[in-house]
Amino acid sequence: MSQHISIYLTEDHRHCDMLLAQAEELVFEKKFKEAISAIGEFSKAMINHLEREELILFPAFEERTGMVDGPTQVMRMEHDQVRQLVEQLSEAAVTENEKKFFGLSETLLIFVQQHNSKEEQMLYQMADRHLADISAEIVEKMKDI
Amino acid sequence: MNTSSLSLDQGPNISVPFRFFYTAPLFFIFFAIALFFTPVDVIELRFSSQTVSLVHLFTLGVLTLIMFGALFQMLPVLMGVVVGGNIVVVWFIHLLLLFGIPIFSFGLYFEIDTLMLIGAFSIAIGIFVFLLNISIDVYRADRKGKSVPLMQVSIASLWIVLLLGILISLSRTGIIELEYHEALSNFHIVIALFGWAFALIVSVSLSIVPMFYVTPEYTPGCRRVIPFIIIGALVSFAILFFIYPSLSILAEFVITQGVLMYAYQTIKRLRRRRRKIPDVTVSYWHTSMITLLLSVVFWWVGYIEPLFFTLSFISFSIGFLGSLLQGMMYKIIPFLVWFHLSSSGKWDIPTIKEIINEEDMWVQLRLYQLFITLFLLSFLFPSVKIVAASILLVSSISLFINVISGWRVYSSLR
Repeated sequence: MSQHISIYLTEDHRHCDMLLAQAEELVFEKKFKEAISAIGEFSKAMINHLEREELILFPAFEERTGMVDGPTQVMRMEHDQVRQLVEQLSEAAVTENEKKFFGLSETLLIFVQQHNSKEEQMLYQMADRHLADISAEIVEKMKDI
Repeated sequence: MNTSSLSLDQGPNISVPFRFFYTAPLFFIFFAIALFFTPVDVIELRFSSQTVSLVHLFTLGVLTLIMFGALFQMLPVLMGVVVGGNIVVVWFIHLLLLFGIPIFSFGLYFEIDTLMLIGAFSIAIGIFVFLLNISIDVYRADRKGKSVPLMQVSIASLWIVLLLGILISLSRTGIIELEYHEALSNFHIVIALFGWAFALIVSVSLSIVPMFYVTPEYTPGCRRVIPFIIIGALVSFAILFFIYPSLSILAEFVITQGVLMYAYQTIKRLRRRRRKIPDVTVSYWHTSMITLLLSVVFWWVGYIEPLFFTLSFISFSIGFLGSLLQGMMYKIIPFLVWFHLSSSGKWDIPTIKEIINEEDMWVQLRLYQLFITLFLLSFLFPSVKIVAASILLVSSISLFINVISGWRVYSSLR
């Protein structure tokens, strides 16, 4: 049975959101040790998600549609911004800089939400349409990351 | 589906939403001053020139300006609709509203028909150009999007509100004779509040509450039922209102169900949000939902004591819509500043939480909550109104300073 790319990646978005919220809660409760571990888990999930898109989905999408400088390029640029924020967030957790941490977590969350919304509303829908015949294969490859 | 919306900038120039956001608090200030000088017994006369003026100063000057600014910013993200790309058009719309709203309100307040008509004409062109600018794309958007069906209802309603507004203005100044002037005015109010504003807020909530606060999604059933109730209620209201006016209470009952379901589902989600850290915008949402529920209670009590119809209107517009839109501005502005600075390659920039001082936002929220409470009480104790208006004045100045501080951060770092 074919699996929708949009469903798989949207669930992955929600998973990352949950992990970030958990880390925020731990910092709020000043449980920094657990928070650092939670941030590590979040960073891993987030970076994996970005790689699933950049290494598997985007190349397949670009090859099928011929849109090389289009939406995928914009998303790649935003991924770089996400990576930078994730890195800064980890640093803030390690140095127990609460104020900086919450400033960065809010920034990351809001930025990621608008980014996710664009992907879910547009890019994933286009991917579902253009890559319908190989969607199961793409999802399997993404799960391997 | 509009794929071109995933262009490099994705959103409009930062000045597009900002020009609406920083002028809305100015109208809040004018509104507070006008409220200060208007006696409570005059406000109770719902069709008195002064009341109609105050209502428009708030609904057009504050609410509509914030809603236009937010739409220019959010439509590309929520619906893939590109709007606000042409800065000259946006500038034109904003200028017409900025010119029209005070003149219209002033003309109405002091019953100077010429001024009122000039203002109405300017506002009408502004809203017409806005609608022309976004309607085609909004109706072309993929209806599978969470926010799309109700957004379409909202935009259709604004067209109706605009048309009725023009007719009522012409009738009020005696240029045309409308047989059903009062009935059409009532219809104008209902479609403006429920069709344009409420449908828009619900449409946006379905997307942004789960997104911004990491709450459970509104269930698919809920996402279908709430729009269905709202659309059904508006259509049945429109039909009953003109054919069997005495039965329009049935449509009011249906609207009540839609409002209750939306408020209940939203409060439930906010309570279950995964992000437990204090957030002033969440408190704005709570204030908004509580006053929305109050407005329903007041509405039905109004059938026993008509004064409560007025309280219901105030609770809905100033409480529910006013609080929610201020909260939304506080969420959007810091993000916009950060996003535009960061996208231009600057990395040594403040985080979203450092762009508007959090303490100042909390103070402003408390002032606004106090104002709502005192303003509602002033209908029982009229002398309280002066205090309420004074508090609103301070709250509005504080809102203006907070919004401008966001812009100053952007200007100093860009």
